[in-house]
Amino acid sequence: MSKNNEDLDMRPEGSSKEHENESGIVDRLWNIFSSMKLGLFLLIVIAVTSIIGTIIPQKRAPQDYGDLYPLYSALGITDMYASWWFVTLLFLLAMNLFICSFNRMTPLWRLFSQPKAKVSENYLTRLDHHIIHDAQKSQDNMAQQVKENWQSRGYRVVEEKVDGKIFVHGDKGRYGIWGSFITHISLLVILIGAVIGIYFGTEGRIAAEVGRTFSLNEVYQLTPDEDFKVRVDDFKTIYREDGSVDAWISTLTVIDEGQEVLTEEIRVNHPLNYKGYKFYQSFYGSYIPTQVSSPGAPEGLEITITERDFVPVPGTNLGVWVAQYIPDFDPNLGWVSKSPDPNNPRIIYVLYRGNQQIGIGAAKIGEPEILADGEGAITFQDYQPYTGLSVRKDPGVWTVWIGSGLMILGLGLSFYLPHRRLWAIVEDNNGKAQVRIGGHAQKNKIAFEKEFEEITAPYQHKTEGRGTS
Amino acid sequence: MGFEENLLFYLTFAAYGIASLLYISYVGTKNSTTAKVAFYVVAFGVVVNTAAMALRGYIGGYVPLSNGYEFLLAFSWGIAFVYLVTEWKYKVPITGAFVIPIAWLLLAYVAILMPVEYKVARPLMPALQSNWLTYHVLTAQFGYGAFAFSFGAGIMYLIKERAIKLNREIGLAAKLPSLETLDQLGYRLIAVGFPLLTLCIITGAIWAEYAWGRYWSWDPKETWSLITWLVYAVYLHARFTYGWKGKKAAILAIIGFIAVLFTFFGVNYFLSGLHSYA
Ligand code: HEM
Repeated sequence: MSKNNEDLDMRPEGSSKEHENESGIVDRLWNIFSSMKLGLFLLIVIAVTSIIGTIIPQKRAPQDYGDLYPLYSALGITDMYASWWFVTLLFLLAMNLFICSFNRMTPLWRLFSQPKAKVSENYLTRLDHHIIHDAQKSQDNMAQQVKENWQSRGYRVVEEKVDGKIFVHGDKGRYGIWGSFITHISLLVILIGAVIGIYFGTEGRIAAEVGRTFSLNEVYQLTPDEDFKVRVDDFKTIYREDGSVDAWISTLTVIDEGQEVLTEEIRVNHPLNYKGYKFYQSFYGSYIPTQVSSPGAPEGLEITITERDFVPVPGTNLGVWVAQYIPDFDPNLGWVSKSPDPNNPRIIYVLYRGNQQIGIGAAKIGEPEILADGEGAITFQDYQPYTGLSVRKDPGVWTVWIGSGLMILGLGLSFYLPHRRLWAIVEDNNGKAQVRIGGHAQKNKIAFEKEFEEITAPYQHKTEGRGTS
Repeated sequence: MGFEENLLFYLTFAAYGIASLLYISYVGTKNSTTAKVAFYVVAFGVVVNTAAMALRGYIGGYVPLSNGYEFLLAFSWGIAFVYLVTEWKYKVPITGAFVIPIAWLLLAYVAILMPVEYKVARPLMPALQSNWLTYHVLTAQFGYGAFAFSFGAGIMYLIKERAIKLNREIGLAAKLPSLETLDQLGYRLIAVGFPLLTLCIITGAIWAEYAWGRYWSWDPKETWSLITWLVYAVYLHARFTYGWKGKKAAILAIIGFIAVLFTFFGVNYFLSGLHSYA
């Protein structure tokens, strides 16, 4: 009976409980997977290999890797965190954690709910702290005193009488036993959440002009399992006084089965969430339908461009670089808009001849702008800002958060609720009691040492000092 | 940066510098008054460090934890604060000679090498406007402080251990605390730092989820914080199951803090990613 208890304590609980029978392949695998040796190996290998992906840029186009591409590709390190071997390492770690936790469940439960009081003297004297004391009391009185002393200090006490000896066990902080168990399970929960996200999640992007209504099917790369629509009511950029961007704000309305169900402003850090789909403010831009012409090419060119595009003027060596849209242009302020409202909307452009910058202008929307004394003309017919949304559904996210919460709980228990244990063996020595007391704490041994000294202070002469281990 | 900000910064810098010198001279003299004075100088440093951060918050109009200068002020604060608490609790002033210089060196980096555009208060770009970022940096601040201490303890351990092995426990080595004490101290601080680092990673993930819609994207900074976390996990497990105490533990604690520093500096300088505006 006591064997269990001893094993539990001198070794980390359940760390490498070997199966009795080593013969079967299943048992052998089970043993390998319940060993901490494999665990440490995996932790180290994962830590070291993770470095690769931080040095070699991930998920680039093949030509970005140059001649090394075939090698990198064969090793899977152009997208290494999703490569078969890295995923296998994570899977092995998960198996290791699962089996190791599973193995420890029963012994931990026993330790938690019904610790055994009986231990051998040999075991007791091998503990970090122990004393022997000859009392002037009877055996029963002595045991009673020990129990009361411990109980008054908040220890849970159990007693057992075997072969005329009284065994007492006391412990405190027993919820701490579950700390590392919960931590390990939490990691599994997080990994499960990640896997749910990979298999059942979906993600896409869309650029939508103000006024447009799009359905989920139109979102690039999204594979939706719902069918509602979203209308972009507004998109604006809020600037601070110094011209820096304070926020990009899109106003979105969700239309489900023809009904407007919800209208919300989204911005970075404040996504909209509907039926598990989240809409993030992710990028922005504009469409500018534009007409360019020159006397040599009067039919001109009709294209849709955006800010920072370069437009060659057909039939000439001129070119227009479209710099920026300004909603409320004021010549004194230049690039900074007077207000966010479109009171005097202009597009600032730079005119080039060849590589030479020859002019700068602020074109009115919808009116032709004459370039280089009539060598060409450009008309920005409209300015249609669009908002760039990323749309994401990840049903695994809550699992990940629950796992994270469990991990914090587990670490808290593990590090801040140290399990402390005391044992006493009270023997009868011709009507007088001889008592041995031993104690052990897995964590915060310094504090426990003090407590042990206080607890054993009443038993004056210590025939043996504190042991070392 | 304005005059007041500079003044507070240089007062902090000077306080940690003077305290470092006092602690180092304490190693030589073992004069307990020196240690006591050094302790109060560090305490003064923490006060002006706090004031420097508060002033930055006032000027910037945001929680001052969002650019390189602010992170480093927070980092040095964390180291000095954790040192004060640990010293108050365990009374081993000699560790000051190994821990406070780290805080000082971080600020020396700001004073000497950091370009001014990284130092001034700048309006927060939209992605940085998040409470989760604040929690993220706060937990890092305390956690990194604890790891810096365990690093100092690890270095001391190696010095002492080597001296004992060579049978030359004289000079510096003779004055260091016992191997057992150093080992226990290192462990206690990692036991504080590990849950904080875990919280730091989790709050960072929550922030990323709000800002970009992905709680984890394997960007280099994230990955390096995970690597750091794994190193400390190895420390805890090897200690617990194989009894890797003493020298091996000290070496792991040192590697762990090097990983912390790399996460903090190396990633910004050598690697690129989402965090590169930090
Ligand atoms: C990243 C992965 C892991 C994390 C974060 C983790 C976390 C922890 C923590 C915090 C403790 C308590 C340490 C202490 O009290 O000093 C612990 C203990 C332990 N871990 Fe892990 N662990 C991980 C992986 C593993 C693996 C793969 C195994 C598999 C064999 C394992 C087996 C153990 C054992 C046997 C203990 C001692 C149990 C006890 O407290 O009684 N761990 N772990």
